[in-house]
Amino acid sequence: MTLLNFFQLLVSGIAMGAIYTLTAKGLFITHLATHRLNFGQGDFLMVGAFASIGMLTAGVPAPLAVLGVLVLMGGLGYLLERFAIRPLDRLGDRAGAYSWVLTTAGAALILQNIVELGFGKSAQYAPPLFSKTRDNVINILGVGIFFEEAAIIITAFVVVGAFYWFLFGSRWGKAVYAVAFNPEAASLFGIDVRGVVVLVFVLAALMAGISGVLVGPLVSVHPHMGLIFTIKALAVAAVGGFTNPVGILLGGLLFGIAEAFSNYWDSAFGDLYPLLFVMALLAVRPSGLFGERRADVR
Amino acid sequence: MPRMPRLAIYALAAVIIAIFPLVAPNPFFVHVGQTFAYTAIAVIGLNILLGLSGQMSLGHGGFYAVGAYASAILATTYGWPLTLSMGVAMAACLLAGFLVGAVALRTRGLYLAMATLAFGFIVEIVAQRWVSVTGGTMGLMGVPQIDFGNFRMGPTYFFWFAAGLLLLVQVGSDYVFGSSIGRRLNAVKESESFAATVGLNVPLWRIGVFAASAALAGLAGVLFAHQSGFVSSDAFNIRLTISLLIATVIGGLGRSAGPLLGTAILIGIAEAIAAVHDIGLMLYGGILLVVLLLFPEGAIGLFGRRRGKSAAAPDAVPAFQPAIAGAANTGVRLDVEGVTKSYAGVVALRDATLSVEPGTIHALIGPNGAGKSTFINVVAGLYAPTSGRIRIGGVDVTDLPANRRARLGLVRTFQNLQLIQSVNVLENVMLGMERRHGLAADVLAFLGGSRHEARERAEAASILAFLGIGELAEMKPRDLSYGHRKLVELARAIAQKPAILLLDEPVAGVNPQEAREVARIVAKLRDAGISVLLVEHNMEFVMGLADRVTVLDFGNRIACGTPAEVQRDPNVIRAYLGAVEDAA
Amino acid sequence: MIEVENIDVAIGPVGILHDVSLRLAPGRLVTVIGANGAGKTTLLRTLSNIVTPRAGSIRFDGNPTAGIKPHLLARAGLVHVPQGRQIVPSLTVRDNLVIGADRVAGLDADTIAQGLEREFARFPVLKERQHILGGNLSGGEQQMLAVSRALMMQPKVLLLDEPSLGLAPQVVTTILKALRGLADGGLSVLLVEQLALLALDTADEAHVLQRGRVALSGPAAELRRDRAVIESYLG
Repeated sequence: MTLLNFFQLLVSGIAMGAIYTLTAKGLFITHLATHRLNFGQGDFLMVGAFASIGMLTAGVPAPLAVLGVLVLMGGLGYLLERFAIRPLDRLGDRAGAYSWVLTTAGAALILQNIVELGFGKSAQYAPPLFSKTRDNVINILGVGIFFEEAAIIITAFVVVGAFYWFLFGSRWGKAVYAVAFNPEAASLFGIDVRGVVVLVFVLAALMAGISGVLVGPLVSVHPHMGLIFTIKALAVAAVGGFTNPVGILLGGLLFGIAEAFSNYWDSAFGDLYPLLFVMALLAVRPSGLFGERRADVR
Repeated sequence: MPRMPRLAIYALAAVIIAIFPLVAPNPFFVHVGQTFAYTAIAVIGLNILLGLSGQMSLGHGGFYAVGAYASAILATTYGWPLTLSMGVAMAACLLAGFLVGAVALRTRGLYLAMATLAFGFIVEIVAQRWVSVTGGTMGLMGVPQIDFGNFRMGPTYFFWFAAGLLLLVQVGSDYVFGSSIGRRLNAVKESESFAATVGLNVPLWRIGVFAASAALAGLAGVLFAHQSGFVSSDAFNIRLTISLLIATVIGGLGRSAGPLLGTAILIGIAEAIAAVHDIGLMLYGGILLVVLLLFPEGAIGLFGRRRGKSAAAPDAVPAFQPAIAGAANTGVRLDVEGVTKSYAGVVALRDATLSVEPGTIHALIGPNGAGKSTFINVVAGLYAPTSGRIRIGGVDVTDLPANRRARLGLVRTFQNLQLIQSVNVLENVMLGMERRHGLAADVLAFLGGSRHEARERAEAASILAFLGIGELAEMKPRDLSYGHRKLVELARAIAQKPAILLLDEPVAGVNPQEAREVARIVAKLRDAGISVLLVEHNMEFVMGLADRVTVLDFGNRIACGTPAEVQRDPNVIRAYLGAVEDAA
Repeated sequence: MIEVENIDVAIGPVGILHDVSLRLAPGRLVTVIGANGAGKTTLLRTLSNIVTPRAGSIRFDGNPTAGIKPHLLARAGLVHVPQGRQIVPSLTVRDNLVIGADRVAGLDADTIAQGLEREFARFPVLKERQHILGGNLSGGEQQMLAVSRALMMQPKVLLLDEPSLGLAPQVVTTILKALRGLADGGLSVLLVEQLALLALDTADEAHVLQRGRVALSGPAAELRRDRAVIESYLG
């Protein structure tokens, strides 16, 4: 492997890793506030990617297209909470403990089918988002990297930064932590608990949608791509123990980089090794690399 | 009404299986019958996993694929005889189940859902890309079919074989649902700490049921491979897992007959969807949502709730003798020596020492937050103490887990009730009992019909009668008043044949009359030689019943003595009321 | 400020409160005392609409509260300091203080800043520790924080659920003194306490709950001399 190869792999790995991080952040925040999450998160990403492709190829200017995707995803996030999550609360103990896994997965199947009907089953490529052509290479410190990848990395980090500001800097982020700690007490402080729950599901959908917009130019896009992203985002969130947002950032980047290199070594099964590694890790350290250990007694 | 022995029902099913392929109008029906049989086997496994043990799997398609490929490759590429290849394939699934289930041992449901999802995905990818072994999407052709050497009659033989296996698996499932195994899985599902206190090794049960369920999915995959004679990776994507889950959910989770109904509906849907293939996924997704949100009990729920087992209830209830219940272990003492428990630096219990003398009632009282719950959880083995020792009858049990302590006769009740909601009162009481005879004998008794678990039922009924709630035996815990639920929990504790009984607020929320009744019963248990440690706020109850009282405040013991001594103790009055000067 | 008339409350099949009535006038400190399990916490949870009564009515500031969501009642000035303090452990002391006030309509940044100054003056230890995570405070500091957090919301009525829980006697005295001062300043305070004698020393009026019923009521000073109070606790 040449040094040049090394840097290019590193950059590609960071780009995918940043996208996994974004997607996993959505899982993290819903799990934090509600102990539930969307098992169709990857499919939401897929919808974001297709919505962006659809609008860009129809000639909508990129900023407007991104805005359109955000509005669409926010709406989907609300609908998911309203129709796949909230009704389970009313069922009480008639609903199984993990019914939300299946209701969110069921919603994902519906989305796959809708996209299939709209765009066909075959793979598509998104036009580049930030540059005129796909292979626009820029030179940084003597290493040529794709401009598109660099721009995607920067955008992803800006979004992660915004997410951190929301979580740690805004009054709503504090409300999320209050609800996560104790919903009943949070309501006594004047916090609209249901509003916070809707908010985190909308936010999770937005994170998936942005990931979808960004991933379009990097990989081929097809209606059944979501599962892989759901699995990888879950794996990344689990590395952070579902509790540690910084752990998820590190886990996402490490995962993306490890994947880029293992794909280089073994083009047939390379993408599976990081996943197998995370599974083995969980069997040994269930709280993830960065998660907190918690007492198991209720 | 005497019930038909189960054996007769199964014999009838066997006859139907035998006749079906002979009277089926065309081979298509036989083919559908075959598919039904092996699919239902996988669904039964999922139903036990989801419905009884409460564990989620999104990777059963993976186990199905492992079974199919293992047997197909061994039989085709390596020319192994089918019996051997099928056996090895199922063993492989069992092993894979143990490995994937290992995640279930250490973590909660979300991780298991994730690990199984990843497992199914990995299996699919490997099958797709490891072309030299699996044939990838092109598939593995010429897989030997199960036709017992007779090509013309092959499909019929295969149907008999698959449906025969289904019958066996269904019998097994019925037994699991109708016996102590099902009750225990329910206990593991609803509350792990509770399951441990009735003596169950929770991790072992969880991983065991997961592996067994994986093996059943594998068996279905094996049969699939040898039905069609062709195995390709296209058959094993996530949609397979989703289909199996849909059949499980749509049939009705946690009911033994659910999978048969669910599989039949699934196959019907699959046939119908062939016509509207474009919106197949949408239908599957919609069905999942509609069933889970609107009919969470599934199709079988539409036929009404499970019938009570009235036929099996004993006619004459023998009088319960508490002395006999305790006879095996009377005169056991409990010593708690210098136990300290701190969480993250906060001391909840400091150097607590207390001895329950054999055959006495020792009460532990104190204001809210004094450390009583911590104390009882440390004694029961749910929390490990930071320091100090706990002895049962002189034996140091400090390092034993809750389930081992339960087996030494340390039995507890819970402040917030722990009853299994999905079974009736009588079965909740039976949860505390050991199985009386061996597994084989119990299965035979089960098949025979009404005498199954008759002695256990009689004993449970006599305990309920002793507590004055015999008439509640057939009711579900959620339909009872709070006071009655408390009594049921006490009955379950008595059924465990306690040497030492830990009662955690037995009369909280109970009306005064019921409280007096509980006092009478606890006194009888003491007289039978059982040692009792009582945590309770109702002072009338405590002072009238206890032989000795220990008072905790801020994790410290502030007083210990007879009820009268404690009531006069200025430290106690201060702890409870906040001041002391004019209290005397 | 609060009028409770003949409420019956059950949780599931368990009747917790039976025919309970009480009044809280402006500027008064009323205490509800009683042994564990008497229904004190449920009474406060009912006032905050976390639990809905089966019968009876509750009025706050003259208006019935039935059907109003708990968070809206809190924003309207019926502020409940729950048992066990419920300080969000992963937020700083300052964030914990502001979290409720942030949501009360009409509170601008200046008012909130003034409120912080006022609370820091009331409990100086909070000013010292304002940037420390709530989870790292001692029990007494957490209780002070809980009271201050409630006061930041500019309550008309303050409901407190066992502020003494798990605290050393000196800290309890500090907190009860602060409550007395608040009532003297015109706030209506409903104090649920287990430490009856301390609560009676602080309050104007008192009710003794016994198994969900009001067993005794009257001026706190009178109940302070009544043997029946002690007997209701220790049998």
